[in-house]
Amino acid sequence: MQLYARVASLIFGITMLLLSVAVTVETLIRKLFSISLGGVDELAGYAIAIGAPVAFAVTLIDQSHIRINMFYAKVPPKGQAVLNALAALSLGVLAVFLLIFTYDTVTLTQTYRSIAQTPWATPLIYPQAAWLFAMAVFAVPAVWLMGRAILLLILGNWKALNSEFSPESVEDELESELEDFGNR
Amino acid sequence: MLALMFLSMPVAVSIIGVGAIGGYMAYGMPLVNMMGSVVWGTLNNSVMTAIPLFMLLGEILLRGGIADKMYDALAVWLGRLPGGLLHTNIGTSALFSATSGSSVATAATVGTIALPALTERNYPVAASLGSLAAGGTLGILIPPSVNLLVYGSLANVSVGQLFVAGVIPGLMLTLLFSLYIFFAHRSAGKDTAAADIPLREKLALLKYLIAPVTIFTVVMGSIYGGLATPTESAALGLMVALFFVWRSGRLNTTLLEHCFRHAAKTTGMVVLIIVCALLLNVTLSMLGTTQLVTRWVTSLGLDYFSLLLLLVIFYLLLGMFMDAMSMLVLTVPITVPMVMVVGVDPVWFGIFIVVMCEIALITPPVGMNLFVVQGIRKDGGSFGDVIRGTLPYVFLMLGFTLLLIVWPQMVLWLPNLMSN
Amino acid sequence: DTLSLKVLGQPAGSGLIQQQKEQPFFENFAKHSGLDATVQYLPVDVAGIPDTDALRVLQGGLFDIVSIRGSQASRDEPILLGFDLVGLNASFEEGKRHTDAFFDTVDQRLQSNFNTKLLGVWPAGPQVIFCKPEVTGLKDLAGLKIRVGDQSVANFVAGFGATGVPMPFGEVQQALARGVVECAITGPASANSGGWPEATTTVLPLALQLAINGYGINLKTWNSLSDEDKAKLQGAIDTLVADIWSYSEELYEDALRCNTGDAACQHGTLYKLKLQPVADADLAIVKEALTAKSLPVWAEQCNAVNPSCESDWNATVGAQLK
Ligand code: NA
Ligand code: NA
Repeated sequence: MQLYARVASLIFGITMLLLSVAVTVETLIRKLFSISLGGVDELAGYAIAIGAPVAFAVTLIDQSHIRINMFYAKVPPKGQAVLNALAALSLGVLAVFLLIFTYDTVTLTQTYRSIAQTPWATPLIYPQAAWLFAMAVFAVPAVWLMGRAILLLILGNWKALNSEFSPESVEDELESELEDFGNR
Repeated sequence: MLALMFLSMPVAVSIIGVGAIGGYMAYGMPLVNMMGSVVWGTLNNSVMTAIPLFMLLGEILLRGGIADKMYDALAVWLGRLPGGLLHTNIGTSALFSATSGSSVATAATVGTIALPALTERNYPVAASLGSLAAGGTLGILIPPSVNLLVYGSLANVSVGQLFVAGVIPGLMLTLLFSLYIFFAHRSAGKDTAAADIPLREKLALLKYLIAPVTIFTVVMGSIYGGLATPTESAALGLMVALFFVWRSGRLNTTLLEHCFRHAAKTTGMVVLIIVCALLLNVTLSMLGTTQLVTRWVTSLGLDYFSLLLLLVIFYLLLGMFMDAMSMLVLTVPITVPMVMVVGVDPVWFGIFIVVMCEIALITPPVGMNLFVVQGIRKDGGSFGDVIRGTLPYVFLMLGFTLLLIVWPQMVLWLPNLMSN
Repeated sequence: DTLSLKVLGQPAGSGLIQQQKEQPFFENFAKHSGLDATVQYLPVDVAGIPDTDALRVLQGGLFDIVSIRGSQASRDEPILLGFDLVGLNASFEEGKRHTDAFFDTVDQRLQSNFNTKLLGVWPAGPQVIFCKPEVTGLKDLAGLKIRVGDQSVANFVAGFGATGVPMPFGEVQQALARGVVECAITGPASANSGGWPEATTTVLPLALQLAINGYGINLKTWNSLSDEDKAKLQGAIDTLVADIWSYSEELYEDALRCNTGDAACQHGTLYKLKLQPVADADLAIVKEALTAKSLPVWAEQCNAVNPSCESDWNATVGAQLK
């Protein structure tokens, strides 16, 4: 899972860096030479459409999708384990639904052979196919973690559930930040 | 939905779960079939791209060591004011959370540098912690700000205008915090005044301010000058930040990989709730809920002031228990149409709501910045110290909100100046 | 029993046609149509649904009637652009003739591919050119950056050496004020409400397009109506559309008056733009752009999904041009 998140965040980061280079070049030559390459805005839209689902996967693996822990913190470990399993289940279901929605939309785009009303008149199927792939990048670990959480719940392994699925607390996050700071 | 959230279900799921079931019951498959279109429409939007770019910019500044150096420079220059290093806390954290996507990372960095210095020089504990927690909240008001970006994309307001509108209130609030320290903690750190540093060394330290000031100037200057959209300005800022970190010799693949990981994590956090909130929004408007609430508020016959005062109380209470970003995303689709009825300017309301988010970050029992500050201290003191130190700032900010309400020009003057 | 219709309208902020004609019509639908019907009317931006998805909404039946935005919805069906190619409609009168001629072709295509019957089409109004430098005609636009609404206009301005810059409407006023673009194209009423005259000096009222929109109804809903009800519904929409055609022209002329400081201005803010008379040579250039550029580019795109697209257009609209 850690390797998966690492690769996903590399894809995400490199996409954003390359986009920034393109945007910077466009902005500078537009100002300096009054030439517009056009289409960089369009590219930025595709970058986030594809980058966001990849980022969802990283957030998921780091257990960082926002949860409100006020009540959770007051529950005994067994109860926490059940809540953690339910949270994993709900994220798995959400990811699958998003994948289905995405698939439906992309299918229609292919049927209509839709063309973006933008400078490049891009056939929409290209960026949307990549978008569908990105959604799958989110759905695969979400379903995997959902399955694992349910299995642990059935086995009654509260300890493993709580160590693997508890929401990242401020303390955990700080600890890793401080460690990071120490290494600078 | 709130019940699901308080059962610690992921906020994104709580938002959409209820909406999806309600929408499916009312409209069946046709509504479900539109969901993909709405997700694509939300994500395929260059304004949204600014979110990961600003997150990445913040990570690179922070992890590239620019924050550490800046604290040292500001400490020398602000340390002699009555209240001393407390001003430095406000200044550094304000400037840094200015770009950072994660307030935890910002507070961790600033707090780690600041606390040893503060302890060594016998600063009162509560006051020190309070200034760190409150200072950190300024970042979402002073542009660039991810919260303002999110508000802009949800409420369909120009992000450029919002960023420009945030400048003066951001500076005023910083000044207000400093004034408070000036009067309330004027004796803090007095007995152990820092050794005199020769002016030449002081001036030399200023070079550590060059990077943050340049980046802020590039980002805001390109927006204010109409040279770039917020997304483009984020890309420019990112390039400049990479340049400075490269110059300082700290740019390497480990650093970049670290920044990517953290930026991806915080982007995923924010964008998933936005997507889910916009999906809920479709259901709510189709069910007529939004219009119903708007009509209900109109029928109450509230005027401008009473409606806004009511909202202050509403957000204050909600913010005690809810994470600031979730609160913003969840309420904006309903409150914006509501306040537009009584003639509230949507740009002004963006600033208002972000100030309410700032308050939410430091009100107990759930206040992210309170937790963070408590987490970095090493003296093992009680959480009560943090709350005691921060509470005065909550009142200052509430007072500031009232000032915004009676004097909206403070927000609108600069963006209006820009458009004429 | 009572017919219940869900209607997706033009964006709430899109101007007086939505505000004064469309919304009141649907909110008092029973009165206007004589049908026993209740209508839930929702502007597309309030609903939170992308306006590019109008045809998908109709296809799926989420709304019964949708106010289709031609340029945006053409993402899924390029035939819609055939109503409004750059250089096709230089006046309202021409626009009416050409859209009438092409109507049935588009209707058949929407019926067979999108489960949608087209009820009527109307113009948002002529898209004209606003410039910061004083220009006397199209030749002065060479080398300038011009904000354009869509790709066909970008191709057109590229034809005489200008750069088309796509930009959201809300950003244009400041882009003009700061010199990011020198000129911009939109309807004069939108320009007035967006404050463009504050940042420009000249308006060149050369109609490049009419911005054609229209109403579509989900076929299943349509087929569920009795013949009598169909006639009532179609009749009511016909009246609305005819009303919008004349209202749109009225608004266009009024907005031109407002922008150029004529005190007879009724619906907008009074500004003092220079009204540059359109030279016959420029009219000819725009006309020429139709056959030289916008028709062939569009035909290629449209034929790719619908082999008879160009020949249908030639047989209907094309026949009018000869
Ligand atoms: Na900020
Ligand atoms: Na709080």
